[in-house]
Parts: sequence; structure tokens; C-alpha cells
Amino acid sequence: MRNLKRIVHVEDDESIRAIAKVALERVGGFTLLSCATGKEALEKAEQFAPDMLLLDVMMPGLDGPTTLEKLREQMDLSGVAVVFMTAKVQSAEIEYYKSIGACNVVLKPFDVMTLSEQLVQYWTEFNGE
Amino acid sequence: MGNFLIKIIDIDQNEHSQRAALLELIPTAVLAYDGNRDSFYLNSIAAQWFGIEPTTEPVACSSLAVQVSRINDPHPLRADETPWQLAWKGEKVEGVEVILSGGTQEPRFILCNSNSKNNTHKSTSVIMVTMTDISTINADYQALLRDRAQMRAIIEVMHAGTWQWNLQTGETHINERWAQIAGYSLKELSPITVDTWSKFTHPDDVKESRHLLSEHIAAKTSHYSSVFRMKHKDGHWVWVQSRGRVYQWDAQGKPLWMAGTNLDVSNVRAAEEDARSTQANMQALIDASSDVAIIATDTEGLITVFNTGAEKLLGYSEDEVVGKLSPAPFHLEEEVIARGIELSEAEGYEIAGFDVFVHTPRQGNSETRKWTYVCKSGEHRRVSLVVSAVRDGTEKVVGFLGMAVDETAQHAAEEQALLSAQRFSGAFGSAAVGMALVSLEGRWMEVNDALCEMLGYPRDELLRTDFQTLTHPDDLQNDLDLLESLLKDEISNYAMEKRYFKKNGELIQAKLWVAIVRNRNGAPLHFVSQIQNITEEYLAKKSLESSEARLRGLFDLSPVGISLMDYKTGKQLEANEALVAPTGYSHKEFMGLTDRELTPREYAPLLNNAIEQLRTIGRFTPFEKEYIRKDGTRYPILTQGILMQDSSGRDVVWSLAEDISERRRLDQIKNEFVSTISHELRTPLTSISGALALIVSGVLGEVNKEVIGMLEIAAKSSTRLSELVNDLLDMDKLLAGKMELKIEQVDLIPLLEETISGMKPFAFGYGVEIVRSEDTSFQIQTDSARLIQILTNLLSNACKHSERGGKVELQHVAGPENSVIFSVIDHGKGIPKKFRPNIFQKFAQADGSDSSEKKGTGLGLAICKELVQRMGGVIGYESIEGRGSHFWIRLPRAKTQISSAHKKPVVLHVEDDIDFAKLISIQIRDWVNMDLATDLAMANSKIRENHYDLILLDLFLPDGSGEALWESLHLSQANVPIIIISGHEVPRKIANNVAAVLTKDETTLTRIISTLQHIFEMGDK
Repeated sequence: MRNLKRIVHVEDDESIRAIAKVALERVGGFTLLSCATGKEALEKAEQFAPDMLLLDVMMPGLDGPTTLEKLREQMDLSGVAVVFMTAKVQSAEIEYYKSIGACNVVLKPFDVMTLSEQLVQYWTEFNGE
Repeated sequence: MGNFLIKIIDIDQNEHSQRAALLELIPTAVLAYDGNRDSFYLNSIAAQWFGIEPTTEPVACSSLAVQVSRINDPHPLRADETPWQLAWKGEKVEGVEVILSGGTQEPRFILCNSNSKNNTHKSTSVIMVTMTDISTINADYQALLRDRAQMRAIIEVMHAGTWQWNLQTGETHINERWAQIAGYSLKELSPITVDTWSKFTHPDDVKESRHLLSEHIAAKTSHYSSVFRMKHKDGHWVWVQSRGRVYQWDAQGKPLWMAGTNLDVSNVRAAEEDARSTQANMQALIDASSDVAIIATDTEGLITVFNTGAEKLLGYSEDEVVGKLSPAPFHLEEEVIARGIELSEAEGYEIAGFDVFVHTPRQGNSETRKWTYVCKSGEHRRVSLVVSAVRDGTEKVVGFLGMAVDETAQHAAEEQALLSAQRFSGAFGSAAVGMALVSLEGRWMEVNDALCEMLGYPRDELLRTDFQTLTHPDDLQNDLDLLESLLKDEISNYAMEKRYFKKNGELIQAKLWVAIVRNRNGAPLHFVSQIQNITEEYLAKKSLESSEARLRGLFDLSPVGISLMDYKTGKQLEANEALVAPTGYSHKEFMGLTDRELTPREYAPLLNNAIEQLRTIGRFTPFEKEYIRKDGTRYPILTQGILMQDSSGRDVVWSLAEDISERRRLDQIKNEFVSTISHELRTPLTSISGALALIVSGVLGEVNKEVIGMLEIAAKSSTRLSELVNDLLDMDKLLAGKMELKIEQVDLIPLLEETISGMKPFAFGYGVEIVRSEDTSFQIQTDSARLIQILTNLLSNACKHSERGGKVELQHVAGPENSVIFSVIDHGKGIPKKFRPNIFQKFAQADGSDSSEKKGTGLGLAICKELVQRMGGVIGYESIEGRGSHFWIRLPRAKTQISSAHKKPVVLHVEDDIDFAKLISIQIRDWVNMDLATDLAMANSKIRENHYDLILLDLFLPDGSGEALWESLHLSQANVPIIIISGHEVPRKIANNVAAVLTKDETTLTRIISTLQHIFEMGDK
């Protein structure tokens, strides 16, 4: 299994984007592509060739699930781990996200210091270990 | 005697004289019967009974003068049915009763015995029959039967209730009529006890009746006789005359059985009352007439009334004559004799003495004659005497009344006599009020004391004025108009309310009745007035009217809907605009609807509960329901009510109904607002706390130590802010029903360890140690994250309220019915009393004064309570100020629901009087499982461990007041009904929040049972 390295983060809230960038690049040591909208992600993701997509669920314009759907039309996502970020915690919703191709969900508010570890764990699970 | 008889039997039939001699030796009547010859040998006693001369010779049966018959059967016995024939045939004759009758004797009852058994071979020459005269015994018995039948007939005719009472056991019997007098059937009153009587008897009469009863029982009176009132089923009082006496005593001579009758004497009473008041009126009138001598006598002529007029005329005082003299001394003997002769001749028989005066009146007509009265001084006066008979209701003459007028003042007297007659029939009939004779011009001619006092004038002064002067100008014209009509003979009398000026200028309100007095030719003489001071009633009525008007204003203008309903029928009696308007009905339409018709059907259990509350505690506590508008839409109302009696004694319910649609809408807006705000807060908070955490962690490079210090403060505060938002969101989810539970099998000990280790840093901050008491581990099915949340919350509260260096205990024990009970115990200050009612409310925190050290959101316990309930558990607390608090939760260990459908309800009775508790428990154990706690501590521990469907609570317990128990129950398990049983006043806040309040008295037992039945029946539906 290759290590988790490249992550696309789609999040409409600028401050969360900034925090996540620090948490994932400085603390986790990942390479991050931060996108402010789903549209931006559609433009840049394929070229970035990510290991993981970290998608906020609720966004104006294209929301997380729609962005995922459109991305899947553009590129092969078979080796890419998809993780949603949401404040909603109901298990039925988590099941729904999994059904549309997510491997897991990060709950908001997240702990900046442990977010990287959490994503590594999801990555490991995604790769079947 | 056996041998002796055999001797007689064995004697040769020819030796008659020897047989006779032997028979004669037997001290009772005896006959020897020779069946072969059908003849007797009788001793002399028997001979007398059979109506023959004593003889030693055999007597042929056919020659007997008497007839033999059975008792109760007049037909004579056939020869072969007689005792001696039967005995001869060998049949058993033992105690056979027959009557010997005929001849010159009274019928004689005799008892026959014969010892000749099985005389089938006819070997003996005679059989012996001994006979005893039982006439006396029999007569007594017959008389008794006759008496009893007679008694029964009398009781039936009298329409009397009967009663029998065993003084020693209290056993009591009454008949149907007894119950009927009080308007009940015998069945309705069952079971009849010695208390049935006192239950129905007027409290004022019970004592006197009991006294009379004990007098009789103590043998001081020969009969018990008492008149008392009994409460009729319809609510009125019935006068009952009860008479009875002891008729059986026990071996020690103590009274055993008493029996008697009850008669409804209400009619008699009413008649007596009538008679009494008539008599009083008569008396007043007689006393008042000073110009007419009125003398009444009984039927024998003894004087019973001698009025002031008579005193004046004759010079005797009342004391000298009443009950002592007849009118004879007032008359000239020769006049009486002359009149006697006259009457005797007319009637054809002798009439003399007193009869001379009353002969004609007795026939039915009063008689007016001139007589000469002899005064005490010896002076003679010519009088005109009218004598009439006084009759009672049955037209029986009970006395005579004479009215004498001094002829010397003939004219005036005539008028006076006429006036007297009119006074009798007219205005003076009702007496006892201010009375006056008023001249045609309006001058007071005669006034009584009551009127003088009423108007505040001395008599002579009043007589110098006229009624016009004293009448309020506004009322005068009306009065004068009526007088005019009276004079014109258009009306015979009138009554009006008017105002008079008193001498001191005060106004009085009076009721006036006026009649006119005319002379023989119909010319008006003067008026007779009765004046009653009704100022007080008038003022009371006025003040009532004004307070009624005030209340009416409140009622009409109240923004809260108010209605008055008939308790029995539910019919609307009154409803204000605020109640009617939101329904969309017109007032008239609304009045035709009942509360039940306006309420959606699904609220029926709540309505029934309200009715039950009205029945038991006289009001129903506020609850929310809906009303259906005319257009079919609904709106929510908050309603409460109280049971009262209106002036006619009818039960009515005043209820308030507040339209709470607006309040509901605001609640909803508020909840949505909180929900939105919390969500919106969350995102920036995530950024803030995230950013701070990253800087403090140093990943962005070295930061100045002072800056770090400040940032740490900011980080901590943002964490608290996050917690608050999380709590708000939890609460929001719980209230919106969006909270999901993830139930899974978990080991308890690791879960508790995790909880404690998570709390350690927090506890350390307060210098408190958390200890766990037990290691019994088992698995439970629960949402572990939520359970940890609850325990963490309770532990953090306990830490916050502990003293530094104190200990907080976390305990868990397996409870009954597969439950687990967690306890968090601290030894801090305890929960202040005034805070307790709010303890499970949102944003509640105890004692604001030292809040600086008690950090929290104020949502913890509210969330805990919601979560615990969501998890199927119960939360509760016990706390003693200054000693600490004990919060506990009881959770099911598995999700499996035990079907409660056919389980008996379980009731906890908190009561230190064990006998009383037993009494209740025995009566309801068939349908209720009763558990008893005799003090507070025991009750607390039972409530912690068990689920109860209802709590019966005595507020006064040996180790404190049940009030705290009620409070904690009310807050944590509001759906468990509580019935308060108390001998004291119950605080209003409690009374308003329990299923029922019952006071300890003799009826409590039945009321508890009926209330329980009601509650559990309601629950089943």
C-alpha cells in the first residue's frame, strides 16, 4: 500500500479551509489542494491526481455528493478514498454517504491535532487493511 | 309410673272400681281406652274435661258431649283420628295437641301422650292416654301472634319505618319505609350499620337524640322518643319522630335489643309552625288592641287570653284571671239566668251557666249581644259582646273568643270592632313590623313602637306629622297614586318599596303594605299600614349588585376565556367573549355546545381525568388540549377549573381557557432560532478553536510565551463555547426527537473506567477524587457514548459542588427486573431548597453567587433527564442541604420489553401507620401489588430500585416531610400519579400537581380505593 500523500479538500468556508490546510500540511505532512467550490474541484482535481477527496457536504452551488458524482464522470476514482465532512451525525446519513462511494465521514467540529491521524486510519481501511 | 300403668292395663276389665281408684291416683287427666268396646275409663279430672260426671263405669265414646278437633282446624276429628284410637292401633302418640270443645266449657287445648306402642295384637284390655291442659300456654302464644299481626298492620297503616338495634353488637335492621322516609330504597342504604342513622341525621339533632337514647338505655325513661331531622336524598330535611324501647336484655340484665318506629312528621311540624306563627300574630294583635276587651276561653270556660283592653275595661289584671277564672264574675247573674231561660225554651232543653254565652257560637255563628259587665271595682258597664267559637283545622271547637266594646263609646267602639275584624283578616295578619293607622289626609293616627323606633321619633311627635312629610319626594307621587286607587276601590291593598326620612335625616329603605278600612256603609275611614325596614337587605343587595357588576366587567373583558358549566350535564351556562370568539361560533351557537363537543375526541381521557379531579379535589389542574373551531380547524388551549355551588346549590364548574396558539408559535420560533444559531455558531467555532490549537501546538513555529498564555485562555474559552453549542444542539435534537441511540452490548466496568479517566483532569481541577465502589461487572445493552455523557455530566456536577479534597462516588448495582442503577454521590453543599423545582430545567444553575467557580452551560441535567428517558430509564435525586446530593439513574439492562399488559399495577404506599397501610392493602390486593415504605429513606431506596405505577404518599413521616420526595418524583417521573393522604393542610403547589389529595378521616379508605380504581381503569383504556 502506498502512503497517503495527496488530498483534495473542498470546503466553502474560508477559515475552515485555512485551518485544515495547516492541520494537514504542517501536522500531517500531506500535499493539499484546497478548493472553495465544487466547481473549482472539477477544474483542478483530475490534474492534481489525489489519493483522497475530502468533501464538505453542505456547500452552496454544487454540494459534496454532487461534486463527487460529477468528478466520477470526469476521472477514474477507483483508487481514490472519498471522505465527507459533515456536522450531521445521524447514522442513516452516514450509510447514505457510504452508498454513494464514501469510505467514511469526518464529523465537524474536528480536532485539528488529530485530523491527520484520522485520515490515515481511513486510508488504511480503504486499502483493505 | 310405667309399672303402675301396666297394672291398670292388666286389671281385669270387670274390676271397674279398682281401675277407677287407680286412675284417680294419677295427678293429671288420664283416660284408659278400650278399643274393643270403644269406651273410656276416665279419672275425675278427665271426666270434667270431657264434660261428664265422674264415674267408675266405662263411658261409651258416642255419649261424650265434647268435640275433638286439631288446633287451627275447626272440623272435628273422625273417630279413628283421635289420639286414643291411634294409640289403640299401635301408633305413636307423643305430644299430640287437640282441642276439646263443645258443651258449656271454653275450648280446652290439651296435649296427649300414650306409651302403648305396637298394640296390634289387642292383647291388652285398654290403652292409657295422659293429657295435659295447655290452654293457657296456647292462649298466650295465640295472643302473641295476634299482637304481632296487629302491630304489623298498625305499622303499615301508620306508614312507619321500623328499626331494630342490637346495643351490644351494633347489628341494625331497618325496613323499606325507614329508608323511604329519607328518599332511599333499602338497597341503596345497605349495608345498614348503627352509623346509618347518624349519617342522615341533622348534626344539630344528633346530640339531643343520643342523649334521649342513653336516658332510655339507662332505664331513666320508659320509652325513647325523639324528633329529629333527616337529610332527604333530594337535599331537604325531613322531620322524623322516632319512638322505641329496649325489649330484650341479656343474662346479666344489660339491654340487648331495642326496636322502634320512625314516622315522617314533617307535615305535622309544618302545621305546628303555622299554628305557632298564627298564634304569635294573634297574640300581637290582641295585645295591641287596647280599646276592645278580648277574652278567650277554653271549651270549659276557663280564661286563656285577657288583653289590655279587657284589663282596662274590667279592672282585673291578666295574671288574676288567666287560667284561674271563667268570665262568670264579669256578668250579672240575673242576666245570665234570663238568657239561659230564653235559650232553654227555644231549644227545648236546659241551657245554663257558661253555655249561655257559647251556645250559639258553637252552632257556627258568632253572636253579638248586649251585656252588663261588672268591673272589679263593682262598677257596671254596658258592653256589646261578640262571642265566636275558635276552631282548629278539623273544625273542632277548641275555645271561644269574646270581644267586648264599651257601649258608652258606642260609635267609636263600633268602628274599633270593625277595625279589629279587619285587622284580623287584613294588613295586621302578618304583624311583627311597623304598623300604623293613617288618616285619609295622611296623618299618623296610631303608630306602634316598632314604627316609632324605625323612624326615630317619639310616639307623640310622630303622631303630629304625616307620611307625606317623611316620604322621600321621589317616591311620594307613586304612593299617593296608589292611595288614590285604594280610595276609589280600584284595588283592595297595595305594596311598594319606598324611602322614609328618619328624624335624624337618614334615609331608610322600607317595604310598605297598605289596606283601607271602611265603615259598614263602605265609606273609607282610614288606612292601615305595615312598614318594614329593609335598608340592610337593600344595601346588601345593592352591594351585591355592584360587586356582581364589577365581576361581570372582569368576566366580559377578560382576555382569558371563562366559562360556567353545569357540573352534572356539562351544559354551558355562561361564556365570555374571549372564550367564544376564537371558536368562530356565535355566542348563541356556542352556548348550545358542551365542552366535550368542542374538544377533539382523543382528549377524552384528559377530560375524564379533569372530571375525576373535580370530584376528588374540587378543581382540575391546568392541562393543554385543543378546541375545534366552527370551520373544523383546531387551536390549542390551556385550561383549568374549579367546582363551586351556585346560590341554588347546583354544582357548577368555572373554567378558564387560554388560547395558547400564539405561545406555541413563539415557542416554535424560539426553538428554530436556537437550532439555527447553534448550527451557525459551530462552523466559526471550529475555526477558532482549530486555529488556536494549531498555534498553541507550535506547528506554526515558536510563539512568545506571554502570547501563548493569552492564546491558551482563548483556546479554553472557545472549548467552553463549543461545549455550550454542543449541549444546545443535543437539547435541540432531543426535543425535536432527532437524537438517535446506538444500542449495543457493552461491558460495564471498562465503560465506567473510561468515564472516570475522562473526568480525572476535570476532577483534579476541583481537587476532588472520583472513586468507584464495586467491581461487579456485567454487560448491558446501551448507547455507551450517551451513557458516558450522562455519567460525565453527573460527575462533573458532583465535582463542582464538592469541597476541595472531597470524594465523589460512582456506584452501580444490579437492580430488580433486569435493571442497573447508577449513583453519583457527593458530600458537598446539597441542593438548595429553592432551586429544586428548577433542577431539571434548561439553563438552570444553583446559586448564582459563586457561579464563577461552577462553570457549566446549565443544560447538563436537562439533557441527562431527556437522555435517560429516551433510553427507557428514570433519573432522580435525593439531597440534604449541607450534607450532599445523590443523583441516580435506573436503566434497563436489555432492550427487551417486559409486556406490562396483564401485570397488576404496582403501588408504593409511603406511610408510617402500618395498620392503616394494611387496611388498604387488604382491600385492593386482588388487583394491585402494594409495596410499603414506612419512612423517607426507605421510600427513596424503593423508588430508586423499582418502577411504580402510582405512589400513595403521607406527607408526614418519622424522618422528615414527604414534600422532598414528592418534588423529586414530580420532577423526574411526572407521569407517575401521586395521591397525597394527609391529616393536615397540603401546600397548594403540591395539591395542584398530584392526582388527588385525600384527608385522613373515616371516609378516606373508600375514597382511596375508588380513586385507585378510577386511575387504573383510566390507564387501561
